[in-house]
Amino acid sequence: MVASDVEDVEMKSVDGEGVREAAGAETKDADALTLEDIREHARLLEKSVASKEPRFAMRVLRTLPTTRRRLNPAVVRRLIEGFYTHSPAERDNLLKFAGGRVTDETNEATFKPLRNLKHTASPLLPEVDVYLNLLVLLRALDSGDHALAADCSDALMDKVVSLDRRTLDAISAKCYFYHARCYELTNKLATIRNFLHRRLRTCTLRNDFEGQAVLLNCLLRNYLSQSLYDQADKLVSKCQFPPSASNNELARYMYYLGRIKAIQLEYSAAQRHLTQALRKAPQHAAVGFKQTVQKMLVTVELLLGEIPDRQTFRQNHMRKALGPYFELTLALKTGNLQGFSDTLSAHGAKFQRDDTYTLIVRLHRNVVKTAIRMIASAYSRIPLRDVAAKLMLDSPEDAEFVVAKAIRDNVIEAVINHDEGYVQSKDVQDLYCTKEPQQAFHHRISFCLDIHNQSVKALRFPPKSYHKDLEESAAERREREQQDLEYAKELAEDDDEY
Amino acid sequence: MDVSNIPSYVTIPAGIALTLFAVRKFRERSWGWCKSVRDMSGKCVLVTGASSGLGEATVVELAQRNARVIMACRDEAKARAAVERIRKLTKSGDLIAMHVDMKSLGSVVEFAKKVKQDNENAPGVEPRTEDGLEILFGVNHLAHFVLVKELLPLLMEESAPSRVVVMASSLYASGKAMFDAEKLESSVRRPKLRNSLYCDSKMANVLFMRELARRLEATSVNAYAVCPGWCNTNLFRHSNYSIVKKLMLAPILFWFMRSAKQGCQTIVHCTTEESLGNDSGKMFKDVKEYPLIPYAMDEKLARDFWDYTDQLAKDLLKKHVDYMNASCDDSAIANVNDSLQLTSQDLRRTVLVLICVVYCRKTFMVLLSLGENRISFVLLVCANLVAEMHVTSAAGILAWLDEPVPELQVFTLQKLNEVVDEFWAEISEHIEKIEVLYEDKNFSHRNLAALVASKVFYHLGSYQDSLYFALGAAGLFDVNSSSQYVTTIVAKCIDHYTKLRLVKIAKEKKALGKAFDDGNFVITGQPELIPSESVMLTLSGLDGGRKMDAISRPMNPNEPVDPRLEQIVDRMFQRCFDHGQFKQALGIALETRRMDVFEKSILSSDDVLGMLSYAFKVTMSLIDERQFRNEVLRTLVNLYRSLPGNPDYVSMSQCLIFLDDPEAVAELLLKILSGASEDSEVMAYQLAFDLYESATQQFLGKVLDALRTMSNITFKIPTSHSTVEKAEEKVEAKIEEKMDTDEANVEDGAEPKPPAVKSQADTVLDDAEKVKKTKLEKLATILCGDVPISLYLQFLIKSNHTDMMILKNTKDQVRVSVCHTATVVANGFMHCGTTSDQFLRDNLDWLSRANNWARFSATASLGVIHKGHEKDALALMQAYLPKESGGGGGGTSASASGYSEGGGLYALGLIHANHGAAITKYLQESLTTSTSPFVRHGGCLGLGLAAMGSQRLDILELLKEQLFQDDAVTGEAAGIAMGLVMLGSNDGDVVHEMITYAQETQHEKILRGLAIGLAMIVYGRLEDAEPVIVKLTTDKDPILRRSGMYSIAMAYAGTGNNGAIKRLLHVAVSDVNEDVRRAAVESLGFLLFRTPDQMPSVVSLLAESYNPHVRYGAAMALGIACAGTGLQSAITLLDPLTNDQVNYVRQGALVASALVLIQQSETSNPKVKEMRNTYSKVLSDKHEDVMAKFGAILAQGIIDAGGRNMTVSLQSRTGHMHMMSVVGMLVFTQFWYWFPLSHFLSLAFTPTTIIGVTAELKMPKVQIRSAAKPSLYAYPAPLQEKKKEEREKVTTAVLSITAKQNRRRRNLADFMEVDKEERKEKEEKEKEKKEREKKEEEEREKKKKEDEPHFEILENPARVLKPQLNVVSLEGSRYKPVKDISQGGFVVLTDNSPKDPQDLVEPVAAMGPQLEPEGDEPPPPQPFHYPDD
Repeated sequence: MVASDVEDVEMKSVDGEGVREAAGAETKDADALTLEDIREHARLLEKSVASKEPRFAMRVLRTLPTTRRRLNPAVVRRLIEGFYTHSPAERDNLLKFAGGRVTDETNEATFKPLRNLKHTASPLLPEVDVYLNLLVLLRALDSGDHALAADCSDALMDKVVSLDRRTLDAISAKCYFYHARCYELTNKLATIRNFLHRRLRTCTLRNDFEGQAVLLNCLLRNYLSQSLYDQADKLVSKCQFPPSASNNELARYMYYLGRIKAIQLEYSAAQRHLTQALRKAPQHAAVGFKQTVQKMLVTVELLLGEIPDRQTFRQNHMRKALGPYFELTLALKTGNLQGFSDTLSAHGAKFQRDDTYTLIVRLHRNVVKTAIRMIASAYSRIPLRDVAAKLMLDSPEDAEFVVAKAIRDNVIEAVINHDEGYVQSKDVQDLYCTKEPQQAFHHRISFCLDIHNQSVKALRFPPKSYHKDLEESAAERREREQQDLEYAKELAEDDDEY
Repeated sequence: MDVSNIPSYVTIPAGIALTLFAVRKFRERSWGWCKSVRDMSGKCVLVTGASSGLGEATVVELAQRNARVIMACRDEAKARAAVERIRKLTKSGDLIAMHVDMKSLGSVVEFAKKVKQDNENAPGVEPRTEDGLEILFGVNHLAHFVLVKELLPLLMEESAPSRVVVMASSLYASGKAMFDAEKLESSVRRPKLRNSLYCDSKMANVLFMRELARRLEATSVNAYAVCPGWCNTNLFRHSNYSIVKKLMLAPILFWFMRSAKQGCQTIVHCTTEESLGNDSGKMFKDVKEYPLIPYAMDEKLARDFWDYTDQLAKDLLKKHVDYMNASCDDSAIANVNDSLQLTSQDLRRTVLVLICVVYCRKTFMVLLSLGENRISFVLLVCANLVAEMHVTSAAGILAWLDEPVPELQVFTLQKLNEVVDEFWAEISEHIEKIEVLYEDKNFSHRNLAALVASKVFYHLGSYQDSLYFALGAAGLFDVNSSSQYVTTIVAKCIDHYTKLRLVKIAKEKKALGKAFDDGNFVITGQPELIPSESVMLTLSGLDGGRKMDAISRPMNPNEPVDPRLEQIVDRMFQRCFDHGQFKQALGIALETRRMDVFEKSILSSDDVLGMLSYAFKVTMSLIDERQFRNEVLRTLVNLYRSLPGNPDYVSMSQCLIFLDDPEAVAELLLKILSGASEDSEVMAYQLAFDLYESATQQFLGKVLDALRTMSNITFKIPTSHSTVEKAEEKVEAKIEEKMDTDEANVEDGAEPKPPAVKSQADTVLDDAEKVKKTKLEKLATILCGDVPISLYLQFLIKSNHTDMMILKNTKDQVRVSVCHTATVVANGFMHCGTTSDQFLRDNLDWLSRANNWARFSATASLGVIHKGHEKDALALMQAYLPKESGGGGGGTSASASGYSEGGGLYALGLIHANHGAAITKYLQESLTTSTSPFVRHGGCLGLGLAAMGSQRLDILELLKEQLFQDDAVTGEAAGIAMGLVMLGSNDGDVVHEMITYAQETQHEKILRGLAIGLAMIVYGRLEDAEPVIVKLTTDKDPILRRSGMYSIAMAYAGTGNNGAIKRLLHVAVSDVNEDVRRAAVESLGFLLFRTPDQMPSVVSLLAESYNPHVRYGAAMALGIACAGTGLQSAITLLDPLTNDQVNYVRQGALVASALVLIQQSETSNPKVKEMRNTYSKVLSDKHEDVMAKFGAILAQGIIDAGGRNMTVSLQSRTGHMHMMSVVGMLVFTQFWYWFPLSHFLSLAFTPTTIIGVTAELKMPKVQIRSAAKPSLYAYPAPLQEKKKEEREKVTTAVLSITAKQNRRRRNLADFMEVDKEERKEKEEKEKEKKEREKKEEEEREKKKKEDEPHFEILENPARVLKPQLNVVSLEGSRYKPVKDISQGGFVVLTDNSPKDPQDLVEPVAAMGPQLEPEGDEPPPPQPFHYPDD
């Protein structure tokens, strides 16, 4: 997840707080609804454990972003009080993280055990326990007190690590993610690297694919945020991304891969990964993520000497974010050195924030190249002095040097007449005599085939569908159909996860 | 606005400021800017003093150009801070912070201490280098001189073209070359000379640069000097100005000094600019060349100065020899060899240490090659210093691995071991180096290397390699640690060890087998049992040949398993024992075939008995290999024997049965019997009952023989009534009689004395003997099956709940002869063992329609009905049996065909199945005398059944004789019978003979018979049967291949052997013959009957095969494996198959569903009712196919088997394979070819009951409490005769037109209304009545529901369903069961008050309840004849 998205979410939560204080009565109802939903979540988790069907747990987790938005201190407090009826110590422990003021009247009046009366004394199911903990952690994160959130996530990690249950995998994967997030916010990323490595190993041993994917991404993010590209690259080369991990994780992974490759000068690989990241990302949501990927992608494409489609910059949600990059592209396209350095100085800070600055600095060469190419195609013969003026170089000697290099790099076909100080371009070859069109064609075809293959791979088939019709009764079928509907709805919301 | 309005005190300073600003801007313009945009990626730049000032700025610039920058800094904290600062500015480039102090040529140790004490102030406080040199000269010149000189080889050889940029200054011009070290020393005391000293040092720099350039002229290494200009960096700190002066200078500084960024431009220019080319030896300032003064151009001076400096450095380094010696004992270098003899050169190495940090491996190599190998400790110290820094990369540590200095390598490994969890990805790229270290036999810390390598491989997921190195790590690999790494590797270790052990044992066995194998079959290959190939494959797949040598060595049977491996496993065992995890230890011991540990784990546990029974359970359920299982069982028996106190005889006898050791069983029984108390006697009886239930006929016979010989008492064995006449006698009477005479004999011999009188030894002995004899005789009656069979019979007769309505309905709907036969068979099943042939008697006319084989079958069904009714068997069947007088010629008129005679013999066999000592003789005789093939067919089957598993050679010979007549009808039966007789013998000769004959014969029928017979011969032989199976499955003849499938089923029945399943599945989808495929799928059911819940998933895909035969097979497999379980998932698979398009698939599904749902009550399993309805629907459906109808009728028979008191299960109560059931089921499936064989299913029926028996082997009246609602396990409600009523209730439909007409008519004729109203009233009344009745009924039902108690009291021979067993307990206190009652079956009870008269259960007469009690003892009923005959 990218910083900007998280900021989005946080801003909303702050807004939410303001609104809540304005209309007390309404929120009470809303709180009650939230509580009821979370109770339903707990029930689903129990069902998931009982029937060993991970899909119920997945449903709960899919609604996590929505649930997160609806959390507030009051809800969290009541959750803790309602669920942790069996152990006051644990309850008090969690209440520390819940935040909000302790108002006695709400406490007394609204306290009601959220669990089945029969089981109030028995310990919670670990899955439910961890899930509730996670909700508390999310609340702590949203409250803005990162140190508190880090403490909370430490406690949660202790719990997760001590448990070894396959039914817990999906939930703990989420927990890892937020744990890493907490430490990123508190700027202590280096300290958890070892922990993440250890968990990654455990997940690999236990075939916990989701956890593996999340941890791998967390580690990569960790390394990249400290510019440890070498480490990240080595990790990637030694680990296999689990093929059955979710698309969202895969998109993230691709993005990180793209960044690593870009820094290592493997631009075409980087482009491939970034494109895939963009394609794997949710369609309608995760705007922040897509913007970030797009920025990186544009930069990489520019480095490759390609000019991205204008369409890319025109999309509604991209227009603003990609503004500076658009300027950059224009400068590059026209070989406008002045424009390039202007853009660089104007938006340098922004580029640095986007982690693209380093790459953009490398673009300088490309700008010069383009400029020379344009000069060469415009003039069959031009004095070096003029070239120097056009390229804003100090002396004709500099220009000569630059042009010579361009000739050597096969950027232009020209000859320098040193004595008389001019550049003589050769005639432009007929492109269609070369293999160029063929290669371009091949490139497109392979791209199409690739997309086709990937979409076939991405198709999901329901498991054991072949005797689905046989074993269900009418009631079961009704339930299934209803679930399908819900599932479709959730899929639409799925994008919120970003 | 007027300018003059502004006061001058504003304008003047502003003016000055503006001017100054302008000056500054002007100056800036001339300072120049490096325009080189060269991409430096792939280049490496070393920058000294990079933590601040110009150095830092340079690093930033270079990093932005993607260079790899080594930042040599004095202070690590500062270095780290600098890295962070730079990282904020740029993400590109590769930054490596290294610790170097340019001030110290001497002791790094000393310096480290100092740095720690006083990080900040070090330079200011001590204005001298530690070598006693003036600081400026030392830092600026000497240190760099040494550094560059040492780096030169690297620069020249590896990284050329390269550059050395020396930081000089334009102030150099006023400096001089100083050749006097003394002067240098003294100059420290003259602070005023400071500035000139700076100039001198810069001059030294320039000279150094000149000389360097000259020396490198021929190479591509260039040297430049640079003047950065006057920069505002903290170099200023060295200036000795007072604070006031500094303050005053500040504004000037602000305007005239450059920033660091501006200052570094020239440096960067010189570093990066490609156009500089051959300007070596020049000086630059403001990004332009800056001419040198002639003094500096003096070549000789430069050369002299170089030499001087070189000498100086060497001398200085020498100075500290003593000091270094002194610091040798520092803790950081404690592990360095004490014998280190420092030479002067060591000091020089100190400097190199700095370079070590900077990665200059090449330099090291050069120096080391000079033979100076005593630098290790220095390196070590240095390494310690660096490694303490916070690392973000293991590259620095890894680089030291290349140094062939053992101490450093050890140190490196230690460091790697610490960080491997985080940097495994990096380390894995250098893993070969670590491996090489491990392989180096002279390396002292090989173990450590192995440990690191093991961890790396573990992280890489290559566990085999990891294990290999973990073994190499020996003691360093801590088994007791609870880390994930250790637990994983230990698990892999045990797996590997298990594999090796298995290979070893398999090889040993193979060697043995070859020595003993002189039979017809050579063991060609046992793919599942010798995993050596697969193990080798996995190993070689994981890694190349190198490791193969080490790991695969244990594969060689001549050599023992890797002792290190064994050691780890042993340590694991020890840990298990220490922690009291005996069960785990036991499991692993069994897996690894370690009998010593197995015994130890049982004996050393707290609960030895519990462990023993656990071990027994595990052995029986999980060990597939027969030989090994026997070995384990043998151990178990020994353990049981050695137990003090009262051993668990029940389990022990079970073990012995499996070991096939009748002598030991007999011994055991005798031992128990000789025990004084009555309890022991009762226990013996209980054991006998258990033995009877789980052992074969032959085994029991041997036990009896052994009992006789061991006890030296000639007691009568009641089954001696083998002749016809004797058979007619009543068993009980006979026993009594014999006992009487025996007693009389005893009394004759010696007067009976009360046991209290022990004066005469003989009499006492005799007395004891007498008691013992009676006991033994009782035991014998149980063992030979008389008592159990008669008790079962009593139970079945007593609680017969057959619903005759079902049969009646079926009979009414049957039109075809096939269904007719089916109905007769179903009747047999329904009345199996109840001796009630009422249905047949009632429908003699109908029955007489049966002709030929149908008649054979009908007669045989009597055998099913009278199953176990042995004492009247011959009398009952008299009418159908071949007359001895006329039998020879095949004489009498209608019966000459011999169908019913054959059926009669078959029936006798069914009655005496597996208990035929009494009848075999008779059957043998009839077989030899008769000539009709039909009679012989029946005779063979009967003989086979009666002599089942007896392996009697005379019978075998007789059967062979029949077989070799090459008569199709007789041959088929003979083939099956041979199999039955030789059941489970795996007799090589017989098998060979049968296979040879099968290949020769022309008759398919004979072939089919032999196919089944062959399968039965290998029953339960597991891997011993492998040669036969291989031979059969690879035969060309599909029938023999089918036999191969059945052989697999029989040999591996109930084991769930993966290899066998794989083979069957393979055949199921690949064979060309449909029958073989069907048989293969069916056979799956036999393999998996112990785990019925797995069965549906195994065949779920097959059940949807396009091939109907496979579908049929899947249905039958489900029926076989899930028989009697009522498994929901099995039914859901079968349900759609009952509507299949293909008739025989429907048939199979119906039969299978009945097998699954047998004895499931409707309350607990609602599917039962649905299925019953399905059966009747299929029957009544006019358009339904005959095949399906046949299935439905059979299904009806099966589901209500034995008067609804029997179930089908291939497992006996004790959880063992029930031989009779398995055999019965196998032959039953052959009804596909031959309807009469369906009677075999009766062998698989077992009564669901608990029968309490006293020590006198009588049933007392005891109540059994079942703690469940009665309705839960109740009999299904009998069918109602309701059809006619229903028809009445149907109201006539009134069409709208008629209604209209009616209305019209009503309007026309009013007078009619009165009448109608009356009628209406009547109708209403009736309605009310009905409603009332309905309500009452409902209420009654409700009451029933409400009133239903939560328990039920059952009378002694009680029908108890399988799930019900868990809730039963004995009511009352008089009797106490010897063993746990919840196992069901026979439970011998001890009587707490033996004096009181016992209330016994009245024995019921045979033939069912329909017989009116006419006299005291009803005579055997008259046999009926078919009216047609």
